[in-house]
Amino acid sequence: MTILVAERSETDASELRWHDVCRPEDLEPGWGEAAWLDGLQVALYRFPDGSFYAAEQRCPATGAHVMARGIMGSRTTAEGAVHTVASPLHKQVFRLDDGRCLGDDSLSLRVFPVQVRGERLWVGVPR
Amino acid sequence: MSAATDSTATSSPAPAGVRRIVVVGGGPAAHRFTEAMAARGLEGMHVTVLTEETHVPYDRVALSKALTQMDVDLTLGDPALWQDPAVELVTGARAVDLDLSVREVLTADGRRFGYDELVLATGSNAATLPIPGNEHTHVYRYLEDVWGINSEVARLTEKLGRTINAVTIGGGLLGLEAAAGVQALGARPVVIDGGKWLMGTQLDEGAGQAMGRLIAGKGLEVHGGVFPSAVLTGQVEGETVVTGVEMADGRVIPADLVIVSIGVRPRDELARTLNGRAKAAAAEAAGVPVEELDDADYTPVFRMGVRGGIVIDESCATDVEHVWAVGEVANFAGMCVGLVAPANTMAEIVADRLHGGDATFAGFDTATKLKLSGVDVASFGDAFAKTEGALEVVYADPARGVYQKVVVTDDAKTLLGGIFVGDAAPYTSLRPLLGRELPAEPGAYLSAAGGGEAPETELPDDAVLCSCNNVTAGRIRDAVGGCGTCDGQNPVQELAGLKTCTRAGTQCGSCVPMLKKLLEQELTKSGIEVSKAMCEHFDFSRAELFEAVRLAGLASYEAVMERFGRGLGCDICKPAIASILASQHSAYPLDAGLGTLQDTNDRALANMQKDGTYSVVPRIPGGEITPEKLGVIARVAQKYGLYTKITGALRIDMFGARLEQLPDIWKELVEAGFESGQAYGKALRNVKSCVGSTWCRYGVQDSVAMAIQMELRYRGLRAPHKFKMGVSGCARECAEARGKDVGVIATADGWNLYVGGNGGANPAHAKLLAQDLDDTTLIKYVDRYLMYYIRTADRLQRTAHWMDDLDGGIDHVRSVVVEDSLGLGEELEAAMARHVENYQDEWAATLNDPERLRRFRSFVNAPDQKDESLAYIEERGMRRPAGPVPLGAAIPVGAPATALVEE
Ligand SMILES: Cc1cc2nc3c(=O)[nH]c(=O)nc-3n(C[C@H](O)[C@H](O)[C@H](O)COP(=O)(O)OP(=O)(O)OC[C@H]3O[C@@H](n4cnc5c(N)ncnc54)[C@H](O)[C@@H]3O)c2cc1C
Ligand code: SF4
Repeated sequence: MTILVAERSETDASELRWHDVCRPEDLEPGWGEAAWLDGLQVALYRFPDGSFYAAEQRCPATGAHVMARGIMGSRTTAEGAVHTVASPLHKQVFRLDDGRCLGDDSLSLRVFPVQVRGERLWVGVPR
Repeated sequence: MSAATDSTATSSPAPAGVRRIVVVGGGPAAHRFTEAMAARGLEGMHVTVLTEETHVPYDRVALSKALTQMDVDLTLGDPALWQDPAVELVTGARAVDLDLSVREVLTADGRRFGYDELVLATGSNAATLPIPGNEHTHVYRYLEDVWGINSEVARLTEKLGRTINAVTIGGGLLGLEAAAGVQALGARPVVIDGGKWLMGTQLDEGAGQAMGRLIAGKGLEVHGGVFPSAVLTGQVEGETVVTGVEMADGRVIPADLVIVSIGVRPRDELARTLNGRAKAAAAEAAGVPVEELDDADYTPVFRMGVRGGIVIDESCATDVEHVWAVGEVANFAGMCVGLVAPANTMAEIVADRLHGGDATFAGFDTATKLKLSGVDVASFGDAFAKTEGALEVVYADPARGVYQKVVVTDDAKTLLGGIFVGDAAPYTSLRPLLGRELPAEPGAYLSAAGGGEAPETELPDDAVLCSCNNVTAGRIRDAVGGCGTCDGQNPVQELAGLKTCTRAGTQCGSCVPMLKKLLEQELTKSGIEVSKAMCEHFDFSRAELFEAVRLAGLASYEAVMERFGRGLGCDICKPAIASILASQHSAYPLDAGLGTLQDTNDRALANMQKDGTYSVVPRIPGGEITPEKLGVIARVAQKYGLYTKITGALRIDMFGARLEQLPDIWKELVEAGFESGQAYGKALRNVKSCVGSTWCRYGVQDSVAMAIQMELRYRGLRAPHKFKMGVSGCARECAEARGKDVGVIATADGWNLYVGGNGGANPAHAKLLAQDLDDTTLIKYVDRYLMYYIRTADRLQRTAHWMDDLDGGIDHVRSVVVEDSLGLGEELEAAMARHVENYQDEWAATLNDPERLRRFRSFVNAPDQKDESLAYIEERGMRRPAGPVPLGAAIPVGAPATALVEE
């Protein structure tokens, strides 16, 4: 069975390289964790509502690899409620659907598509 | 400010054809006059303010703040006033003479300022005592006076190595303020008052008695009913020092410092000089020596009051054409009054007159609400019931030190005045009703009698709410509703804005509670909700949520969210809930769903640094550490290549640990007997201490033992913000305890407890909460204080800011903590006892549990892989992050403390 959990990147799926990362239940709801994808550090998030997100582990504001360790949450925007993560260093809040920073247009976080394929969680990274 | 520097014969900063207005004096009256002129427009006019002081006009009413906090800025109003091209402030210019024939003011340095209109606003001087030794006393009037007292208290304390005796002569309003001030500086305060009771000008005997009891309760020693006859001095190391005050009855009261506060004398020298000259001329004409000329035989230039002051009429004009007088120097109806409200009113009147108006001075309103810390006193209107047929409705409870009196007309309907001591709560609502019919029986306002509740009434629009600045309730309603006074602004709907716009509550501040209430009433009327919501997920403030969670007995994030919240939470409400749950249940921070709520540092039980690595800070209680334990720290730091630094909090910080290394590092530390220092938490950081009486030759108590006892008691206690403590072994204060949230300073008889201090971007000095406590009482008060703070503060609000925000400030806190006025004492202590019982070392708890250790893996799919992006360079023998030093997040100095997100 393949459940498509999140496919939000505009990148053509054929240009993605999919990584088999871990079991979905290796992640605790609400607690972000980093993953190591052949040298690329990715932050993974599982929300209590069952959704998964992946973003670059590097904090766009400081360059430190910390984004998995930020507080996850939600914000209400013009387009409705969005899932977010706050950088643990200076607390900028990023939308996890498109990586935009709320409150600072000059910053954005790279986000990656996530799929749960059977027992495993996969993350697609542009080639 | 453009200070005139030319010293040509005639300084005339005003261009020709412009009406020259010169003000002599640079106090509140001069400031208000200038401001009022500018507000009405300075077209075709130029205002020159000559002040002998080197400061821009400042708020003398708040002078005591500068006693305890030397760097406080008391500048009155918006300093931009002095940038106005039509306004000139000349500091350091003392006027010494007037030449009325050519309309010029002459200054001490020989400058002349021509005027078309002259406003005398020279205020008063503090009176001095005509007794021997007077030259060794201090007065309490100018900034330099209080700065001098401050440094003298510090110098003498250091030199004598003990708490010094500071004697204030004069038990009036200012004397008591001065005494409370030196007490806050750590001196033993003594007040000598010649009258039968304190504050004889404002209080009747019953009130004075109650006041005496309250003041004594605050630790002020009062000697009443006797006059001092000499200030005694002696020689110490070649320096003349004050040793005591001799009283008329022969007693000697020990003193190291004497402050004289026995009243003020109008600074009417200019007028006296001119009168003197007129008298001399008259004597010469009559052919008699001046001394022999009878006062009745010449006409003074300015009429003067019997006890001084330049006589003005109801337009504030003096006897001399084009010369006006305002403020304390002005004598109206036979009186000079030392309050700022009439000074402001007079200033407004002259500004109005110079703009063609016809405003008149209606007489003095002598309402006073004393700002003395810890004592509630107010006296207003016809306090002594001198009006014919006036009735006094009194409640007195001498044992409790409470006295309340309402004075009404003979039909018991119209409010004439009142006195409140010990509980002045009714004052704020009564004050604006002065001269009006009371909406209830007078007795209803005697709140301490426990009688009926006074009705909540709407203030009539013309009732004066702020008497210092003469602001009516109607004027405030207009501003709230958006009258456009403030630059065509929108409605002004928060307190700070309302104060700026209307000026209400900006001087003595006693009307602020009333102002707040009026604002809330108006907003409720217009259907506006005052939002205290923490974030979009909760409609509560932190304090409200704390109570709600406690009352509902909730113990998990999910339960709190389900009951009170919406959405998925965020980085604001999640840590706040974690902290609330931690304070109520003392649970391990990473278990039971709490882990996901924790802020950056709590999440890893370590402090995240700019490159994403962590620093490790073991607890070193009281800063006391064995050489063996120092060796352990050295070995661990070497083994993991950590950068080590001694912190400002008497501990050792090790930097550069990666997430996955934290458990290994802590394993070694815990095995050697260390525990978490909680440098990461919004919790107690450390208790700083000096070495104290065990080693120090000055110490009077064992500050290290007390610091360790406190650190072990309060370690791990989660709070709205981090908090620190300090314990000093004597008044020299080497531990800088007054820069801490809780500061303890040893005295010969026990401990003085100070609260609400902090360093950081907005430093604050701790204020005295209680004196000479024994160990048990000290701990009891600290328990109560901290728990009360934890329950009621907002998120990220440190203790100083929290107390500022509380109605009644430190006085309220003192009543809760010391007097147990809310009856919460036992409950707060029990909450602290639970904390102490449930405390566990977070790191020891982590190491024992593989589930908890899982939280420290670096990558979910590669638990031992290290972050290869980390790069270091060597500097001074240790490693530090490579690359340029990026700038940290900017924290504006002076920003409200709540806005600061710091770890
Ligand atoms: C500690 C303290 C607490 C107080 N608390 C309260 C309170 O709670 N409520 C209240 O209503 N009032 C209070 N007052 C009184 C209040 O401060 C005064 O009423 C107010 O300052 C009067 O203002 P003024 O401008 O008339 O005089 P001042 O404030 O005395 O100002 C006069 C100024 O003129 C200058 N000056 C004098 N002569 C000359 C000259 N020849 N040439 C040039 N410059 C000259 C002086 O240096 C001074 O700067 C308090 C006063 C003190 C000291
Ligand atoms: S070290 Fe402590 S006891 Fe010694 S002088 Fe300083 S404060 Fe007093």
